[in-house]
Formats: sequence, C-alpha cells, structure tokens
Amino acid sequence: MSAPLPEPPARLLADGELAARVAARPDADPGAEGELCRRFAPRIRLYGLRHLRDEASASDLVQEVLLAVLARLRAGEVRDPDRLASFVLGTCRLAVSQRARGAVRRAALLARYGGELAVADAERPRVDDERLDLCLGGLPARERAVVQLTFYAERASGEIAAELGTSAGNVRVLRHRAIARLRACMGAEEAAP
Amino acid sequence: MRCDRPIRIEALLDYWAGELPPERAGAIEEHVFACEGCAARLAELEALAAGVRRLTAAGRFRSAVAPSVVALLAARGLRVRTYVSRAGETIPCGAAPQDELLVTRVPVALRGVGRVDVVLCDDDWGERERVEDVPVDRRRDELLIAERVDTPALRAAYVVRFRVVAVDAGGERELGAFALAHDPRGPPGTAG
Repeated sequence: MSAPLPEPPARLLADGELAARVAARPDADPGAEGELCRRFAPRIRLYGLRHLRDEASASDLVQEVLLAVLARLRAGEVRDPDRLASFVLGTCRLAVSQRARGAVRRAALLARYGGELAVADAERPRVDDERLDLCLGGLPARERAVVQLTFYAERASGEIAAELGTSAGNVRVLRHRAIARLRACMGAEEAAP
Repeated sequence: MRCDRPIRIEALLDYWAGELPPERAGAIEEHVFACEGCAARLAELEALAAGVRRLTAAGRFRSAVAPSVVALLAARGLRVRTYVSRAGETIPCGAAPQDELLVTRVPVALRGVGRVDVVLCDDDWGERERVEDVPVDRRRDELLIAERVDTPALRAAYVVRFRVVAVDAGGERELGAFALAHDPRGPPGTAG
C-alpha cells in the first residue's frame, strides 16, 4: 500500500482550497492560517488606506478583519470558500462602516487568534526616497505640482484644476503622465501590455 | 503571480485618488482582493504615493511649488521663512537655525498669461536652466519658489538670478527679472 501523498504547502493553494483547509481543522493549522493572513493583509491594508486615509487605522483594520475572517472560517460560517476574496472584502466594508463599535469583540478575538497575526505584518513595498526625490525633480513642474497636490494635499482633480488654472480632465492626464514617468524612473516593471 | 486581465495602472491610480464612481471603484476592489498580481501593483502605487507624501512633508522641493502645498506645510508645522522678491532688485535672504524651508514669493502680473517659465540665469543674465510651465497663484499674482534649508547649496553665499517669462504661441515676454543674495549666516541683520 502506497503512502498518502503529502499535502501541498499552503502557499500553493488557491483561495478556496486555503479557506477549506482552515475551516477543516478542528485545531489550528498555523501554516494555512498564516498563509491566509500573508495573502490578504496587504489588500486589507490598501483598502484601509483608501477608505480611512490613516496608516494606524489601516493597520487596525488588518488585524480586525483577519481575526474576524479566521473566526468565521473556523466556525464553519463561510458558505462559499471559493469566494474567500469577496468574503474578506465584505468583511472590510462592514468593519469600516462599523468603526465605532466592536472594540470589546476585537479584544476577545485577539486573545483567541492573535498568534496567527504575526505573519500578517507582511513586507510592504517602500520606495527609495533619495531616488524618488531625484525622479520627482525630473518631472515637469506642473506634473510635479499635480502629484504633490494629489498625494500630499489630497485634493480632488477639480480643486487642483482650479488652483493650476486648467481642467479636471487635464489634471487626470497630468497625473497619469507623472506617475508613468515616476514608475519608469524608479524602475517599475509593467505587469501586462 | 500574473493576472490574465490586469487593471490598467491609470485605473488603479484613479481609484487610489478617489476619482472613480462607486460602482467602478467597487469593481476594482473586488478584482484587487481576488488577484495577488493587481494587489501588488496597487501596493506599489501606494508606496509611490506615500513616498511623494513623505518628501513633500519634508519640504524636499526644487523651484516653483503650488501655493496651497506651502500653506499646508506651514499649517502642519514646517518652519517656513518667506521673502518677497521685487523685480529689478537683489533681495538679501538667509535661513535662521530653526528654519526648515525657505520660500520666495515672486510677484508677477499674470492677467492674460498662460504658461509661465522660470529661467535661471548666469551672472550675465544669460539662460542657464529653464523650468517650464510652473504653477502660479493667479489670485495673488505671484509664484512661489521653495527650497529646503538643509540643501547643500545653502551652506555657501551665492546670488541666484532668474527671469520669469510668459510663453505663448507668439513667443515669450519677460514678466520680471529677480535676484536673491543668499547669506549662509542667516537672515538679514544676523550678526556675523
């Protein structure tokens, strides 16, 4: 009788298989839960930054959402594991809409599942500021103004247009061009044609 | 992991800047959560935006800067020293030890003017370098030039000469010629 094939490592599993493995273990499967955290922490963080506009709040959201997802999976409450990504996104949306509530529940979940979160602090991309400074300096002045007004001053295209004496559509074009130049200068690879 | 239907970087940028209608933004979020490749691209974009934010917050500028950015920096605590240029005059300037950003307000008549260039000049007012299409403040009829105090060039005495020119299809005309005499010892009146 041949020995059973070893299970593939968690990192090679599709989202649905990963969710099913987490849900199937009566005791913790640190590998599967850690992979789930590693895979979704960056996306939750981006969602938090986009909607909460605050680094600390985004970090809190990562913790809160991952804890909630792990708890729901292990309780067998995720009906369709193949739609894990949608489930995580839905949990994010609910968490953001309920920010004021839930501190006590978070504390309880953290006490129970907090160990798996260590891997959630995934490596975040960070640019070389000195190189970016040079690249920014190489932008046309108007494009540089648009990216500063967008990302530092957090102005909408209409407000930027009013300040620079142009149209909102042109501001978006300038922003696209500026980012394309910065990415090329910083050596970013294009993912697709 | 490569995506077989990647979201264009322009769409990710518009999403990140909050420029998309809710349905389109939601669709991008759905895709990003299900796609490690596009999530990584969005993360790179966010890192770039965060870098721009850090550098701007630190006053890492060269040449003309949008007025509201300077106002926001000052409101958020950056120590800004401001000088006002006058056409045809050499204005003495310098930074005190506690200053972090030097800003020069350059008054120019902007009525009817489209593109404005700043032309950096040599000692004979010949063109040395040109910064094209700089942001201007049309409410106050001025442009702002900013430089971080710890820039190595500010450690020595020097005179910077520049002309502000209006450029249009018919050519260019000068709006003013300005000069700043930088003293590394500090602002005018600082004891030597």
